[in-house]
Amino acid sequence: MKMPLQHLTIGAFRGATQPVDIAFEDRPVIMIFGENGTGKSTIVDAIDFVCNEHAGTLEGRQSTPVKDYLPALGSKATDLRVELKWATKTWKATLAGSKAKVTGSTPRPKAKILRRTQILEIVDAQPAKRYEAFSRFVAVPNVEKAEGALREADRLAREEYNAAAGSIDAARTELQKLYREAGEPKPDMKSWAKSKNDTDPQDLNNKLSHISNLIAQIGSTTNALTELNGAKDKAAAEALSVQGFTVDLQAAEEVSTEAKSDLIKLLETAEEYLFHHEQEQQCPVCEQPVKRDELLSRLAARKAAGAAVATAARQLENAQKQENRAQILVTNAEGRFLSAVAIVARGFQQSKLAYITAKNIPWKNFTQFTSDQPAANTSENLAAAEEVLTNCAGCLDLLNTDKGTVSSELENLRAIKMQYGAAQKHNGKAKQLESTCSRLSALLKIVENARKDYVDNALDSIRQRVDTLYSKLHPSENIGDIKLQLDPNRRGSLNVSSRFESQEDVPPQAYYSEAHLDTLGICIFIALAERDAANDTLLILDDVLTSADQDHIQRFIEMIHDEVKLPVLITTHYRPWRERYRYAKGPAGNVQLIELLSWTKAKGIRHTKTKLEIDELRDLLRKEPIDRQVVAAKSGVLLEAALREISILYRCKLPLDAEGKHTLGEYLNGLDAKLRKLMQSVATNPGASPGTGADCTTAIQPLMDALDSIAWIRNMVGAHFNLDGMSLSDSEVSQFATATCALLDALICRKCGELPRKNQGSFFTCGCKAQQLHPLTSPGAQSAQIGN
Amino acid sequence: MAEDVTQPKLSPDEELAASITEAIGAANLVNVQKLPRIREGLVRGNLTSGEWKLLAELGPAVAAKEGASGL
Repeated sequence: MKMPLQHLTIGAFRGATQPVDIAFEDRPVIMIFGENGTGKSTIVDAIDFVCNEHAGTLEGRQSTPVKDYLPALGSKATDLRVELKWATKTWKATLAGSKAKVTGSTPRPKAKILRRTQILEIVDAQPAKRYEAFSRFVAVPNVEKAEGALREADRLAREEYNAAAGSIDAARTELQKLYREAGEPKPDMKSWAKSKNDTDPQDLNNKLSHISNLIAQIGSTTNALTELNGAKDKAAAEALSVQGFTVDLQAAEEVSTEAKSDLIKLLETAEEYLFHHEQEQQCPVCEQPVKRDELLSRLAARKAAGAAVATAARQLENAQKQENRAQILVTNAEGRFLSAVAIVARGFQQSKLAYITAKNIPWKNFTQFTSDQPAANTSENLAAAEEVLTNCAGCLDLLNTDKGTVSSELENLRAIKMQYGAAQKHNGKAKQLESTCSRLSALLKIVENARKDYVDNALDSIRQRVDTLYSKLHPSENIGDIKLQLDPNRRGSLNVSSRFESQEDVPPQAYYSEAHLDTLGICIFIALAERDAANDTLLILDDVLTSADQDHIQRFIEMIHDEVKLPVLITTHYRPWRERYRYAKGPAGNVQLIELLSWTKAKGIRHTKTKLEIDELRDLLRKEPIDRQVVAAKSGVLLEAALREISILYRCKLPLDAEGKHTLGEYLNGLDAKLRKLMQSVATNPGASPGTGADCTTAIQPLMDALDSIAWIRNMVGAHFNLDGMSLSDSEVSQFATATCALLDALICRKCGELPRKNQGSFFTCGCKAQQLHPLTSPGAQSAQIGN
Repeated sequence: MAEDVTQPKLSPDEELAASITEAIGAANLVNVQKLPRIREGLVRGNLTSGEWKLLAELGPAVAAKEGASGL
């Protein structure tokens, strides 16, 4: 695993009152150790400032505005700068107002930072708040929106289908009713309805039209006869009137000399002539001279004498005119009646209606009406016409009854066709909708299941990762089995549960110790960071481990090196953590150890490279003259640390001490001769073929035996004021240190810097497996060794 | 040292849309030519109920319909 972070320069940023320049090595883990107040958080905040544009621990704090407190004490905001070299590229950040202004290419370096204050938030937060941290892995709002639309489409289609099915039911109910009314003909309603639907209504329409025509013709003919009779009555009345006025005229003529009506007419004509010929002086008839005025007076006098006759004559004349007109009307009415009868006769003669045929009307007697020629207007024909009308009108009741029956049949047929058509139409629509609903339902099932599976899998994947990490930290502790579940009753709400002793699915906050909750929070954070990030994302754990026993520290180190898939930067003030690396109890070769020195405003943040103990011892040996006490003491401590680990691995027999402490001599004696004889250290070369001699095997026994004889030098020179120790030469002290280095060089992996402690079945290996320690068990041990 | 060769990660919506589209295609429920639109609609959340209905009404491609000769 590569470390993308190469260089960090900090100026006027938080604790960096003086410029800080840190070069990072290409190792998967960086550990920055510093006691409280030495500037660890400043370094992490500086990385956060460039990578995430966050103000680090000041972010979101109202009491400490970024623009006022992000610049170092006594510095101006404009002096602030952070420069980060990351995977060969460089980014620079300055402060613009209260925001970071970062220059450099995209994408930005990626850093996921977990601070101590955030750990409990992850575990102890409200489910909705906790969901926010997970939502970017499990939230699928757009798919959910499209799924909602799909669900709506499914609902609407089902409603449409139900409406269509309802219409089909309604049409079927109506058809059932009509079917019952029709007497439920065989074989079944469906066949009946189809047959009716296939029936052409034209025949019934024709029949109805025929019947209606016959009824109308009878009506018209009857009306024509009525009109004829009326005309006849009128004519008779007019004739009587003429007779009356004739008698009146005769009576007037008898009482007047001038009573002759024709004379009156002549007088009137003469008067009119004179009126129009004013110059006339003689009679136009007798050609005798006349006096016009006298003649006119005479004519007026004579006319007056015959006035009654004249009136009677005019009345008679008018009455005669009325009579003539009445006679004409009679003649016309007779013509119309005869024509109407001819139409009726032809209609009835041609009719195929059974009840008309059954009447047996003697049409041969009425040929004048059934032929193409109109019947003559004679009294015989008129009498025959009335006979025809009487015969035909005798069918009127039957015709009306038949008309009602046919109308009803037609109405039924129309209703059947309408309901059958509706059933067919909705049936087609329902079938199409059924298919649509089926597809929509299948689509919804796919989308719904896929979404649930996706979310479940995403959560399960995170859960598994958390569980893997957590079980690595807490094996055989009856805790773990982490479960992450979305609250089914609350949107965007995530519950965390776990096992505690025999209790399953309990909230960890209820039973777990603070240290266990801390590690759970760290594991969740790492799992999320790994899921979210690419391989070159830097995982930063800022002072997350405050105190832990040796076993937990060891497991934490193993988790960081063996399980975490991201490069890691650790800051800590917890010295035992760092010391494990220094004493080869962790893969120090994979860690860059940086130590922060005490901070002052004048000096700012200072750092130095942390040396491994064995490297320090080598440095001490190189100095002349050697510092005898320090060399002896450091050799002794290093030797004790290594022998203690080996004694634990092989479960060596050591004197029991109330405090569990042992002397160097006890450790050496604990490793008996049988075990020493078998012990071999093998530095493997992974690239070489087996048996090629590329592996370097070192027998441990000679190295241990050499130390047996000089280990007392530690107490004589390095531990106490001792006059006898003063008599030892520098070379004897150096010999003790050199023998210690020789043993440690043989045991410690040159690649990862760790003592082999992992059980590999037949031997122990270091973390990187390049170094082996044989055997796996001590000959004196009663049972198989387990190792770490 | 490590070069920045990070591929852009798919969002959960994009990841899920891809698997849903694949499942819909395998189920032969809609015309395969409409699958890209379904995927896009799932990613963007802009598939409407009308579109879903139309997709279901149209069904799969003619050649894939039951009884079709495919010739």
